[in-house]
Amino acid sequence: MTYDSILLISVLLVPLGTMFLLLLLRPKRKWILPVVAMSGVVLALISVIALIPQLQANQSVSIGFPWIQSMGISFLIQIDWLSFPYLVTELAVTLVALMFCLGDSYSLKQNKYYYILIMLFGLGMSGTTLADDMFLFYIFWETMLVASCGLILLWGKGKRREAIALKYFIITHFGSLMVLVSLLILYSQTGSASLAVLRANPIGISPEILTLVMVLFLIGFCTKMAIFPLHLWLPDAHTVAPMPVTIMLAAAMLSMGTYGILRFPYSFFTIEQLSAFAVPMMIAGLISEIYGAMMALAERDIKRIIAYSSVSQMGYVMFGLGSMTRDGVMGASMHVIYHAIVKALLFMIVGIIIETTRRRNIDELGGLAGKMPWVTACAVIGGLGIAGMPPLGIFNSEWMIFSGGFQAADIGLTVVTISGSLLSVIYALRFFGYIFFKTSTEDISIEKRSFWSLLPAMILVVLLLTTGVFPGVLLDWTRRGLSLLLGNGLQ
Amino acid sequence: MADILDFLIVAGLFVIPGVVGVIFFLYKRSESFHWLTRLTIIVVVLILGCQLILFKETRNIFVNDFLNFTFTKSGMIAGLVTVLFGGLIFLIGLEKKKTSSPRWVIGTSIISLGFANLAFFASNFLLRYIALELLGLSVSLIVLFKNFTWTEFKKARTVFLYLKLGDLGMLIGILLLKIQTGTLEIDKALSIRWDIPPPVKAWIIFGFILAVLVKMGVWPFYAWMKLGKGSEKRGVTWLFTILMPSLGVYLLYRVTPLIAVDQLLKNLVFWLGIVLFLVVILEEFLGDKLLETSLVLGSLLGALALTLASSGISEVVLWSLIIATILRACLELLPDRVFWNKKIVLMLSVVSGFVCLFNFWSVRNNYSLEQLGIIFILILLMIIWMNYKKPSLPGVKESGLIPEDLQGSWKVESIAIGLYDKIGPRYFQNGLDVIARSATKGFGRIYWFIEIGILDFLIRWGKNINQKVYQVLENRGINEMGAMDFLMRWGDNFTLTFFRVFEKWGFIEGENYLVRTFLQGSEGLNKLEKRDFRRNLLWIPLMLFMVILFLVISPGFE
Repeated sequence: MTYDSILLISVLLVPLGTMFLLLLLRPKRKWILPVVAMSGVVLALISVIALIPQLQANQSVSIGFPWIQSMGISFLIQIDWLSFPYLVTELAVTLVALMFCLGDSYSLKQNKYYYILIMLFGLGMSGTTLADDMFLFYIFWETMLVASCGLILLWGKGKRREAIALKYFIITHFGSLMVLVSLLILYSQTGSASLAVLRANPIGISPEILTLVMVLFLIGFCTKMAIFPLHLWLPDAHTVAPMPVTIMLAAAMLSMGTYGILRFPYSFFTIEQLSAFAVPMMIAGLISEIYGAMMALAERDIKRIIAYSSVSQMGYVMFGLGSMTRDGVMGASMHVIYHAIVKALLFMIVGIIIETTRRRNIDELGGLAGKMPWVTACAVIGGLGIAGMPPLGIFNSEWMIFSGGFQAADIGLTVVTISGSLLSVIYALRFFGYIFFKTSTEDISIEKRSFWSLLPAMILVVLLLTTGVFPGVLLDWTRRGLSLLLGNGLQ
Repeated sequence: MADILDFLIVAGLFVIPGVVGVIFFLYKRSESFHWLTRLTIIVVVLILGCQLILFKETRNIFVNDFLNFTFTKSGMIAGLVTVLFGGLIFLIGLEKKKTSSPRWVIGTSIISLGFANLAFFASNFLLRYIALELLGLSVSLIVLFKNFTWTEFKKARTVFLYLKLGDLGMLIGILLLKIQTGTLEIDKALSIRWDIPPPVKAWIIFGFILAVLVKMGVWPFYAWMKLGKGSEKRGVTWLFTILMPSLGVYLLYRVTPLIAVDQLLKNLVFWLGIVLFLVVILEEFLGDKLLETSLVLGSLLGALALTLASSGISEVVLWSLIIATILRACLELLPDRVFWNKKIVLMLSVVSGFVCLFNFWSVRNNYSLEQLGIIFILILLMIIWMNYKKPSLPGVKESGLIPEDLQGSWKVESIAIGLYDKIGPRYFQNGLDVIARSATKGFGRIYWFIEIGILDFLIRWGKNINQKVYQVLENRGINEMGAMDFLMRWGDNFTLTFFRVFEKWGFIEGENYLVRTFLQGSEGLNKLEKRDFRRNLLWIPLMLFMVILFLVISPGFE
């Protein structure tokens, strides 16, 4: 086993080991649990970063063990330039979510199983990203679902948490089943479960089966991305889940759908085979963008406003993917990363506001700018970020998505998408305007909060600004993964 | 040597305003603000002025792949005029409001200056776009920083949304141009414009013109400018009335070559300019609320700039930028008269008017006879507007052209509305009813307007008859008393009869501004209040019209 293989396997083993460590711990201080969990994620993140030189030299690092040999199924994991940015995003989001736990009184009250499930949720996402075998992928995919569902069910807030957890499970599991069916069809057609084998050459299947597989993949992954009308699980799940879990759901798990589309249909088929799906995907993205934004404008619960903005933002991602152009796909991947940063930031702000004011109805809030100047500054930056204001990251990805749209389809479609982005500006302005600048009818008392609750938000602000002004690294990461997609048709 | 110069230019134009602005945010000693502000503006003006004088050729400064700047003569002229006049208003405003301007407002204004310079001199579209977006944000923040209240936030939000709309238009233009030409470098992208398919070019022009209209504050996009200026009389108003419109016209100047190569686009842009011009004039006549003169004039000048751009000649658009900037500056400076004599301001207005004339004259061969005719009619409409618009001052809240308390007494209008209310709703529904009702009201007012014109004519005519008859009677040796008797019986009675008739129709003498204006020159009723100085500007468009007529007619059309 080489040094690189050890690094790669440690991305999964270290969090797994941390989970066992957490199980054994009997801490006297409540901050120890999140700190231990964080240290596991930090080590995993360092392992991934340490793989960069090897990735630059060989494009990928993999390790595999035989598993169910009679079915040709292996425990095969691989990191390449396609999975690398997604893996870093997921780990970073898990890290900031745990960091947020340090300042979140609700999370600090919870027992070790809470943190174990959070780690399992993160592990599920990391495994999904690294899996190079379709069945291993599905196992991690479902692990992610079960862990997140457990977190909502056991630690969710509100009386309806069981019902909402069930709803979340049914809808996302339906999506998972669609993915499973398409994987089984591909397995039956090709006789191999190895993703490396499947993407080595474009799969030659009949157009009817291709259409079926693609439709099933899209339903499955769009459910995870919360694309309209498959978004129904998202607003409720985001609202009920504890804040660190909401951050992980919104900032990291949504990206799994995008990764799935890139890793499966986009890696297996050529651009010619999928060209018929381009415009429908773009239209689906456009509808989701506008619907999500309209709902964000109509909502009163501040957590649901941000939740619906995810539906809208994933619409941009789908639009970029649908363009099937270099700019569009790169933009979509970058948008996922920037969205993760902004969404984590905004949910943290929402968490702080709910915790300190005990209110979540936007009409009951107001005038907090004077009382919480730093939170206001972070919220305004986050709001402007989601609105696509340069140089705050999302501007870069939107630029590329729109550019891809113009290259791909009728100009009018992209013009409508660009115009729709004005809605993002409107709901962002409404969000921070109402909370921080509107004159409040009553004096809202602010509870004291920990420094730790704001620290991760400030780190995210710095990250958002840095990656926005210097997007070179992200551009490089996403560009390198393009050669693996659509039969190298994006180069 | 060149490197040091480049460094000084970049530092002076972009870095220093940014740093000074940030200092204002961090440093609380207000007595330092004024000299720092003055110094910054002077540095920017000096750099631009010296470059313009010393360097004959276009100067390129490449910092890296993204940050690169091109200093063309036209760009420097546009920047210099904008900073000079804008800075002047800013400094005067600052002097007047020494204590009340929060340091964030001044700081953000200075930062905006840096962004504006970026937008003027950026070599590539992306940098220019980012600069304009950031400028939009800083302009909105200034509105918010005035008081930090919910009201100010709502204003800032509207300003931001309007400017964002324009930016999105620009984004459409830039992205399409980049895809067609493969470059974001402005000069390169615009020089290979010939290969662009016409429908794509139409979208590009649509995007850029949307951005231009929003930035120039042309109808219907001037709402942001009105909100931005708010109750602030001067000071930061330079951002709204000078800087943003200048950047809009400068953008138009840059994309004019794209319009030039397509006759259909030229015609479309021409008619768009004309329609916008007409709408502004009509809105002023028919609307209940009047806008500030500078806003309406700015909107009209913007529409004229668009009409000029349809000639496809960039230089005239640049000239219109200079004219518009100076004119707007004059209007802003007029009430202050801090050290500027009124006559100097007036003279500047006249000079800019002449340049406006020169502009149209220089491109007359690019228009058909019909188009030229339309342009003259527009100028005539502008004269009428200038004549009958109630005098206004920047920042002063104004009442409608026709006072509200008189509106109900107008028989013509009320009859028209009454008729409409009985018949109209049967035929106009679902939103059309609102438009149709307004249109009816508008027609009523136009009719009233014509009618009052006839009244004025008759009054003047009656007065002339009076005078002539008086003269005749005197010549015939009839004594003064006899002549007076005669006039009482035949002359004044004739005039007064008309008055009484029209009074019954709802005109209340002396209370209606238009009636007063019409009567001012006749009937000896000119004991009205002294004319506002602004009204002395009326002769400028009149003179312009006369000279245009002369210039156009004298050589004949070829």
